[in-house]
Amino acid sequence: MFCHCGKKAVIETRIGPLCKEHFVEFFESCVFDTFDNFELISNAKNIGVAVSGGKDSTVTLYLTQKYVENKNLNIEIEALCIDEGIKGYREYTINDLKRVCSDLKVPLRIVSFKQEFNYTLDESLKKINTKSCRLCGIFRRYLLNKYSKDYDVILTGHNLDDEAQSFLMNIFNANTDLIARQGPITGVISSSGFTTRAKPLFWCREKEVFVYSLIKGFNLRFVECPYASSSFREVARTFLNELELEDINVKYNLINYLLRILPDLKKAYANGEIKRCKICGEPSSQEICRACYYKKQLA
Amino acid sequence: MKVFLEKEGKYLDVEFKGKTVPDLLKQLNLNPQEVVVVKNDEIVLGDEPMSEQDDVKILSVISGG
Repeated sequence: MFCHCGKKAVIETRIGPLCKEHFVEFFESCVFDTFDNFELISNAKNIGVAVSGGKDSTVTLYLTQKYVENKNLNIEIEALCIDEGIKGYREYTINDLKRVCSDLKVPLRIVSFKQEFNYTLDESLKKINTKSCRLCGIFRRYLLNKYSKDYDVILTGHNLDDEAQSFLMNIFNANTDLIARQGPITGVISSSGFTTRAKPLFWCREKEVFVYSLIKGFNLRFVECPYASSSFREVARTFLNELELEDINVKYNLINYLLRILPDLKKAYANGEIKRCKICGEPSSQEICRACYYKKQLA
Repeated sequence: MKVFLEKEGKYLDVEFKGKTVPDLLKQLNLNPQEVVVVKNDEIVLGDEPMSEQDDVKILSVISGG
């Protein structure tokens, strides 16, 4: 399979098979156009990038820095990592992350479950009877929100596949309010309790992010989270990837459709009220947020 | 053919019955959207011929988190 220039292709994209050089050009324009078209960081002076040491957040950090330098913007960038304390997993990805941040000369801030909740995720799961991914997600979102308040915007590494899977899962669960929160800039209600979250890889397929990270030589090792298990997201991922064998534009079209209905959905859910957790004061849909509910069980 | 599967962290001895990258992925029941095939340190796809002597690695596109 060959690129339009005649060289051997390394990946098939929605504009056809591309060689290394043309793919890098295509991928970077895709990300930079997302920054421009959705004004992801316009008026920002301090940006946080949520990082894990995986390919998506590493590519996000690298290209955010490149975009800021190319445009000569006066913006500070910090990498923010949540360390759940998962033995045999997170210590490896954090090592990769420290190397990447040092190479890019980006300051890295690590916030851990241990320091915040007195227990790592591994320890918490011995005390609380709940699904690992549920507890991890609640604590991670809590910390990400709490520690991103110094930033004007926090960028995450969510890619096109993540977005398409979430859209499909939300349709199957009839979660219209959650669909309204999707998009390249998340949320529907502006609140001082939430820092704007944005997704520079919104239009990039997961495979494209992976191939880009390989070409750039980020040398990220594959480590599987010991709690990773069969989930609804995995079913959605497999389904979409099988559809993509028939038509490479499936996820792209799905997200284009999402963007068409999103303005009306955001308008419909814009008048909702955000309560505050009675214990920690963070935004919450209930009187006590789920993080404080589980923190009480750990005490 | 010896094939290194990154996700499993192990080598597989494959009695390769086809000729190309899609043939190999089909034989191993892998979706090409979820893996990248590296032959002799180069990413390969499509009708790229594969032979017993090649050093083949199959990398998982999907994050482990």
